[in-house]
Amino acid sequence: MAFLIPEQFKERYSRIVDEPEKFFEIMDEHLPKSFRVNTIKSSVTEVISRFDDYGIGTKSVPWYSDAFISENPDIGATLEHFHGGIYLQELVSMLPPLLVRKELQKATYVLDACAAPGSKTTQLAALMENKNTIIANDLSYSRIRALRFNLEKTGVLNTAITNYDLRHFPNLQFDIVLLDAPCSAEGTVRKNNELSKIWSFKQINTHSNIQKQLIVKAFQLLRPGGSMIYSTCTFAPEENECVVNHLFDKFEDAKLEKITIDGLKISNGITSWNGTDFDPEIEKTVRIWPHHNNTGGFFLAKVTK
Amino acid sequence: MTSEKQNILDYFEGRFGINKSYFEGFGFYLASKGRVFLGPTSIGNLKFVSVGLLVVRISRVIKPTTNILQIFGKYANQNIIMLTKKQAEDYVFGMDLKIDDYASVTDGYVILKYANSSLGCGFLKNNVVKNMLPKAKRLELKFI
Repeated sequence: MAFLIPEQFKERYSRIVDEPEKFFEIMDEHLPKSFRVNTIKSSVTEVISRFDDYGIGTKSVPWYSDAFISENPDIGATLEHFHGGIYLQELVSMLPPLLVRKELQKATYVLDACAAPGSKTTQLAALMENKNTIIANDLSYSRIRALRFNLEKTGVLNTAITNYDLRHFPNLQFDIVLLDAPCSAEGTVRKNNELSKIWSFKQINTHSNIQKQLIVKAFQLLRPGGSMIYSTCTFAPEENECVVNHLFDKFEDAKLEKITIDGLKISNGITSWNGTDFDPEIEKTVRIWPHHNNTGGFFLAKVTK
Repeated sequence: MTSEKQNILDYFEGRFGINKSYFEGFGFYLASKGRVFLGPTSIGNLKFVSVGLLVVRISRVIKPTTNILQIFGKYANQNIIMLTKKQAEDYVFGMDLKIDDYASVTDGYVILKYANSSLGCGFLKNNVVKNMLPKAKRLELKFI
């Protein structure tokens, strides 16, 4: 069933997207289902050969060898899903851990600041080969239940769960911090088709204010020489570039690293919005538009200290 | 914790043949009701909801968990039952299994394997494997 895109939404993003009509069109289309092979429990060769035996078609993803697309609706009823050899996860949500893949090899203490339900935590653990330490924090105790379930299912041992409001998190120093911030979630519309119900400008501003507090705290928890990923699943510059720019205003030692992902079309961050100019460095942030790679929408910044 | 840890390591080696060295690099954490968690060694000074995964419950005996046997089962060499496809389906669905003639396996906790995967834990007594799979994990499989 087609859904209505609010006029204000169209007006805002027509200004920054390359092909507005294609963008609005794909927002109403079904999102392909994807999964990640959980290398803690299985391997790509093992999973794909078994899926071939089942007759379940899979398509590889050019930018991540552990990720696959499959349109089979029964993928959740496979032995591999039961056993935790695969994890159902939206493709763009696999990006934050991937951007620190190299750094994870040497990291001993990693913070996933807003971790529930655990897609990124379980992926971090797999990339760390279940070694060293991840602190998976979430503000919501009820969402932590889902986080625990997913850590169990995927066999994650190197993770401890905390339930702090990040703004009051004890002052420790982490090698890597992932801040996948709570957001207005415009980029997940293809999953739930409820944009016209949930979308409001007020929402965006409320989130933006909290995100600015969270990014400041997350940066304080990062050790000098460490890397932090700030991400959201929304398009709103108020929740993305404005938030990163706020960090730049506050800390002189915050730097941005250029992001490239072979095989994925990305767009650079914008450097001004509604009359406000950002630090030119903000161009190094990236936005993933759904019509470029047939995915959900996403925003990423790789901050170093 | 030192003596409990030693008992747990002895148990996994004695019952399943899982070498103690596979647990190196992990910390053991004792919680209430005899529950022991296996997690990272260095966790920092924080207030935790949980650390790692539940590895055993200690009451009169040591009870291994499905979580832990799914991960460490690949290192085991004894008290393993290889399931048929039908048995694996039934186990994942939550049923107990009738096992005939399993001479190499002794009564007690066993690892249930199918197609190279350790599916979890069962309790063998009088040729019946009692299903230990937590209810939330049970599933009707369509592809196996």
